[in-house]
Amino acid sequence: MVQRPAIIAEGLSKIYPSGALALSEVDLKVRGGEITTLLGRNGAGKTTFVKIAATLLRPTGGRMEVLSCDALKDPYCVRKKIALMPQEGYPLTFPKPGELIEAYLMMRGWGIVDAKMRTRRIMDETGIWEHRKKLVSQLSGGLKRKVLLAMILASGAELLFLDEPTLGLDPHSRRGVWRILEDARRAGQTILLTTHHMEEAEALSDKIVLLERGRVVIEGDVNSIISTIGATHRVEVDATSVDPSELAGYGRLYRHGSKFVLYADRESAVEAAERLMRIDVRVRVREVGLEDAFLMLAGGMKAL
Amino acid sequence: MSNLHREIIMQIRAALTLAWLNGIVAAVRTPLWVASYLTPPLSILVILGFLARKEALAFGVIGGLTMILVYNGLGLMADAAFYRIYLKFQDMIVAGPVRPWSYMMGLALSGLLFSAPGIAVFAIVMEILGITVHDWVEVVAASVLLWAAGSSMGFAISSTFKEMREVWPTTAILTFAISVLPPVYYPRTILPYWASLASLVTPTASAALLLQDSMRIVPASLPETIIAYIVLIVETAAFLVYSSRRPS
Repeated sequence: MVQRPAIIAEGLSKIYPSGALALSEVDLKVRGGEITTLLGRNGAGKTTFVKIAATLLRPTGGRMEVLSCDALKDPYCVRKKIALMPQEGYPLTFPKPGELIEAYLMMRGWGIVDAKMRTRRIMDETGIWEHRKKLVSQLSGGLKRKVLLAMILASGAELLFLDEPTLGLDPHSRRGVWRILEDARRAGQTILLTTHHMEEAEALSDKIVLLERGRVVIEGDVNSIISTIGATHRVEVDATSVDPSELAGYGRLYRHGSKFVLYADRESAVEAAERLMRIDVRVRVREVGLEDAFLMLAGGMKAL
Repeated sequence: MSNLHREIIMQIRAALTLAWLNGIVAAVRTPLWVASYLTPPLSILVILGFLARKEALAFGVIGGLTMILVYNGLGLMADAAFYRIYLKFQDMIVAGPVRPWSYMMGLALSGLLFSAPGIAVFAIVMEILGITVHDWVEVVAASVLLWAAGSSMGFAISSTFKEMREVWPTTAILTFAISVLPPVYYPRTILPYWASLASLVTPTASAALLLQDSMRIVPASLPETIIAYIVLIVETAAFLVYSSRRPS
């Protein structure tokens, strides 16, 4: 049997009272049991989409179905099945982490015994247990973020909305969060993630959706999105150190800030790099990744 | 047990859990907040004690009680705004099984826990001053309705804030506009009749009318009593509807 998508958005639009267009005719399906990541520049419409799906915001047009519930006509049907970690959210500071997680679970309907057990387990898994005697106010910024994430993960909700969950975390903590999210996916939870870390999106996502000015530019798995670049390697040089004509004929050349970026296949990239090194120009060569696709598709690069 | 019963029990439990967290846990960790609820009404009582006759102290006590109860609403206004705008705690809770009314109830109950010590202090002052309550039902009804009206008003106003810095001046202005200006600390009889009636539009003046009547300090006529009850009930309902329907 084909599983019904966890989220179905059809012709979804949102214009704020200020007149700002946040979403324009967005059609999107999010499969259950997967991690789907929304990417896009600031103001692309990621958070607006999350807020509408989480029933916190009403769209100006279109339809939104979440876990087989009509999010516009019956928001409470949706709310019983979801949990949200808001962008730039912070936990209450006066309780201890365990008190806060336990209270959150009890508010969501868990019994006191189950709430205590789940709290203990998630605190262990997220590395908060060793800080259990401190108040949340005494924790570092990264740990506060982890407390918030622990609350959401412990909720047992079918669908988790995580709006930039690793914002402000160091690389080590970020990888710790990735492991937890992978475990949640293995346990069958569906996750809709937004992030500005391409490495994170690459590591976690089953599907990526790129939004730009309120529209879906492209959607697919990581490899299919990277393949839109049409090259396997990237050669990067300081724009002040070389004339762009030196790179002509090797592949497609772009200007990105103070750099020239050449996209080419492996052989052409190596050839171009060797030529530049012969004239003492410092070059950086690497395989293309999601960040390159993002910059190209979201209009961050200027073709030369 | 029907689904409706289960749902109601779950929502009440959610409200009580939030009240425990935001009331008891917060008060234990920051007891200064509890004391802060007492300082404005006690300040006015002290001034009245120095400057006025003993009879005026009765107005000071009733005004103090009224102010503490409505301070719940003002405290809730600040908490609700902080939790919505800065912490995004409201989004986390409401984008879940907790109904908006349950969330509001939890915050309102937590405010009551904060002000309970203040109410106890004023009850002791009443005993010391020999102020007798003639109608306990009226006292309890006025207090509960004022708490409900103040809390729903606080929540409704907080939902209009876009930035935290709007909260502090609003609190100061509202404290003056609804606790000091209307006949809360003084008898409404010194106002022209039309002004005394108009003042009842504030929940504090309506509650003070009932409290002053219950202690036979300024007896109220039946129409005045009915108007006061209607104002408190209608304002509570109106603010609740406004808060729950306000679009994001």
